[in-house]
Amino acid sequence: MDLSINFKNVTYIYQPATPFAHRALSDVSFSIPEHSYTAVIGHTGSGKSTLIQHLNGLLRPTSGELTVNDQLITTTTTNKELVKLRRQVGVVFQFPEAQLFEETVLKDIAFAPKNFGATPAEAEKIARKTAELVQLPASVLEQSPFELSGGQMRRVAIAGILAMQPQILVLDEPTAGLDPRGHQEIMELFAQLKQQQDLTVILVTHQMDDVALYADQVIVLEEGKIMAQQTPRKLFSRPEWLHKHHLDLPHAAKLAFAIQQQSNFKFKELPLTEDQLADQLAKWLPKEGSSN
Amino acid sequence: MTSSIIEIEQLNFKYSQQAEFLFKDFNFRIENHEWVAIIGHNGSGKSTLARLIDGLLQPQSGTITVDQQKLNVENIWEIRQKIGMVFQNPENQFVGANVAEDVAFGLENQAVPYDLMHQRVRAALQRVNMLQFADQEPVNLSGGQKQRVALAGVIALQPKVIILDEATSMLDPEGRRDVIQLIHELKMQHDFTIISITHDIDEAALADRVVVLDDGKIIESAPPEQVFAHGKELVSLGLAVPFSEKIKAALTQRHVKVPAQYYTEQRMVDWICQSISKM
Repeated sequence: MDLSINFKNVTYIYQPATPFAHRALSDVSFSIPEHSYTAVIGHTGSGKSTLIQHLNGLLRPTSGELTVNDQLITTTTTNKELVKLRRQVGVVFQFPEAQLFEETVLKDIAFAPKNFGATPAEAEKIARKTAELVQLPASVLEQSPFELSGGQMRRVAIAGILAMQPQILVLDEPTAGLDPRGHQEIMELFAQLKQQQDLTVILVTHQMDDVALYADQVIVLEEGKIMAQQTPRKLFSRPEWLHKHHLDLPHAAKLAFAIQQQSNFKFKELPLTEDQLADQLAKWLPKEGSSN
Repeated sequence: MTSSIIEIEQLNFKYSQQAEFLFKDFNFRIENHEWVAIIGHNGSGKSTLARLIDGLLQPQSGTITVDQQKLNVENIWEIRQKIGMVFQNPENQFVGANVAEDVAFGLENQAVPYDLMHQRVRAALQRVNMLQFADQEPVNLSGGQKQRVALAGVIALQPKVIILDEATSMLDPEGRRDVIQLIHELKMQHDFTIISITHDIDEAALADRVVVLDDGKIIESAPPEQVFAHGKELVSLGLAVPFSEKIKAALTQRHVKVPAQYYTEQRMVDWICQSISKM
């Protein structure tokens, strides 16, 4: 099976043929290889959410077509044809804990597998395994999800998606509103899951440091069009272009450019993380124990 | 009496469904016109504290004094008029059909006469640079613009204290910068006491004082540069540190002798450039 994602001339118009018609995606074509980690960036209203809702057929193109895991999605594709695909594509929407509803954490996580035909016993087994995967302590499994902290509620909601055992994981700002530690833990969790289960990950984010740390390619959207698709290093090597499109640099790259502007120092390769920056700078800086 | 605008003494509070007290014999004060940033991980008690000050939650014991008045059931409405709050989600706090009406909502509730209301709405929108959007509907505004309107609604009520409860956390980077710039301008005018509850280190850096809260206890209360110099401790509390501190930590790991005090990003760049040229 071909697990890649291919958009071919996809246009999506909200409320077509009305005075409120709004073109959210405009003739968009691109591919995402299987097992890759792709970041989708762009401003609020650039079409990011519309784009990801096509990946499991929640939205169908107004014109054009796409294939996801060999499943063709066109204007006329029916929900019935998409049942299989919806198990394969797990979407974690913004603030997913808003969708928690069951009495206990375990029941909430078991909901999706049960819905997709697992027996109650199987579903519970999957739920327990998934809870472990997202590092929820066993002590909370019988608690109401609504008694948990924000970070733990987020984990429960994410476990609910993972319990479907998807091959493609779509994340729409999955850490919005979490504190810095919660943010880091959840991002590391996704990176680990991708490794262990060989997932294809698509991350919508505003945080360029995360793009630098985790993604192997970036798609830049603006007003429903694709402005760029390349590796993070290539993208972030063009500060003027980013500035023109109101996009940020990762912190480390910003600092590197500032150092280059203010001195004769030249980085061999643009650093994207603080470790890469420190690696290149360390030997030029005074060492512990030296006099100056 | 001192010039404290908010004084909390021997406060004890727990949520009814929880066994443990979140705040135990808690004491805290904020001076008039002071800008205080409260940082702490999720569940550290930051938002609970804001809700206690505004009387949205009631403590089991202890006193909260706002502008020389002890908060109690009789004067709670009077005290709430002195406090304006801006919450996290810009979508949840827009009540008017357009921008001007939204700002006027609180004034209408207080039965402010029409002419005066009109003046105050315009003046408040002017201060947040949204006057040209007065007739716009909320759908036409970005998240940052909606938060500016929410702030205008608070300013129009002329409170003594403004509480920003993670007011920038749901905005995109441009919206966030925009709102942080605005609160910086408000601070320069020194009309309000501001309490900002935040995870955003750039927002906290603007404050006169940063208070680090951990499980209902104040761990540190000092100017930002002093607090940020403790990068390692902040990280262990689950908090963000300024990027210059992250670089310092990465360089220290590589045995570089880094400056001990807190440097802003620009000073860090200066230091690196000077050190490189000396080698």
